[in-house]
Amino acid sequence: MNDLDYDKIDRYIEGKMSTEELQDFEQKLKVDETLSDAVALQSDLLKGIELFGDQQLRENIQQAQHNMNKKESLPKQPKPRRIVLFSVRNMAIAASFLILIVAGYFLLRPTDQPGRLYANYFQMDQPALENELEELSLIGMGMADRERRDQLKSSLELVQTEQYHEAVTALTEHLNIYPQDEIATYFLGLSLMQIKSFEEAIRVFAPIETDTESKYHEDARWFQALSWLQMKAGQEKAIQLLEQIAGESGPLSSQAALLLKDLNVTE
Amino acid sequence: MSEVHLELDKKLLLELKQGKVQAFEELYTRYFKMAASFVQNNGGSGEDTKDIFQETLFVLVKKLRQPDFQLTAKLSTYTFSIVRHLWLKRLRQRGHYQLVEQDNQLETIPLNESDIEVKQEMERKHELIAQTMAKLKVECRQIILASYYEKQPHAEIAEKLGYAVKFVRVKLHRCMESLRKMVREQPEIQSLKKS
Repeated sequence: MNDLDYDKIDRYIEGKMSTEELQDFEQKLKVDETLSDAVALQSDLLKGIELFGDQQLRENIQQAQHNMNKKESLPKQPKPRRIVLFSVRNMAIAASFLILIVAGYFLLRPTDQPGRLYANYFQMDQPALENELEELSLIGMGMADRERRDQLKSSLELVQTEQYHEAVTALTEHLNIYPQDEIATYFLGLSLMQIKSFEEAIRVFAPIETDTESKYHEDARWFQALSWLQMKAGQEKAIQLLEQIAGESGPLSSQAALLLKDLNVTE
Repeated sequence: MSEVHLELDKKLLLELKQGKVQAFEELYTRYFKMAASFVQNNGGSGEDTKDIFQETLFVLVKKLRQPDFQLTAKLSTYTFSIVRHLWLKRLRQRGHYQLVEQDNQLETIPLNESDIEVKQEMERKHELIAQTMAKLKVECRQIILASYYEKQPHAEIAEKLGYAVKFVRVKLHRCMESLRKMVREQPEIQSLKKS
């Protein structure tokens, strides 16, 4: 079998053939046993190569972890230093630092502390976004559902490429047709947060936040709490939601407890 | 992010794609503490953190190698997202262990014995092919992995291995032929194929 044939076989296995080429190739496969054997073998080889590559990759990662463990366990040998605690120079430096810290506290004390906390805790739920997009790329559904999936997929792709204004428009249109779509609802809420429409985001998250059966129930509550943090006089409501999350011992409970702790410090 | 940081991340991403040990070390230095803090604040142990971080790096490299993948977030944000996702997934598996087990039983009931045997034999066959890969000459392993596993274009492989671009094609063909020959000569693989 020549080189060109293997190029074709590779394109067939990787699903890169045009419809016409694919039909032609599949016809040949039916009658040419040598070709179908070659395709089967090449497919097995590619899976074996993938497995070998994965094993190598894992070995390299383990090697890095091993190296890092070794580095961390090396004894630290700081240079011996003579420490004079109460020299005039040290006292002057300490006094300067104290003045800077006190002045800094009063001058830079943020009036927007919840806003700063919001920035620390808010991030797009990228893993969920990727999971949903992968799920939506699967083929084999009925036509009616296919339409919904295609529309949702293109809306979520706008979220993925950070075109949040466009995503809000597309997801809102999608929800006009499919109002029960919790995936669209969840990512509409997140897109609204990205464009700082927090009041609207809170309203959008509400149906999934109250639906304990929803897979995004806890996440929606968490993002609602973060949105309340961005609202004037919304801190009390945010705390109330965070306390609910922290008390439910779900996957986000520790994160909620941490944010509550941060909020209490600033009060 | 500054220009310098962007350049550093670009270089790091390239080395990650190539699966270089030093690139993984850099990620350990940068993000392991962040991962440990999240996992351990959410009911995980030190061992859990190591497991999750290893898996995170594996997932990250596989993602980076996807031809249509574009990193739109900062590397730190993306890495943390994977850590968070993997850990929450593991927590869910632990929390719903019995349910998952029941679901799996339901899923496996329709499989008959011969389906299970076929699946096991396929896995065994791929494992044997992977072992055969390890017996190939170094330069053959490199070129096959670069082309089929890392999906690098021939021009990139040529530059990395110091070949002419045309020669990459010839060499890859020869190396794949060697692999095919070695696989065909293994009675165990052949017996699996016939079953």
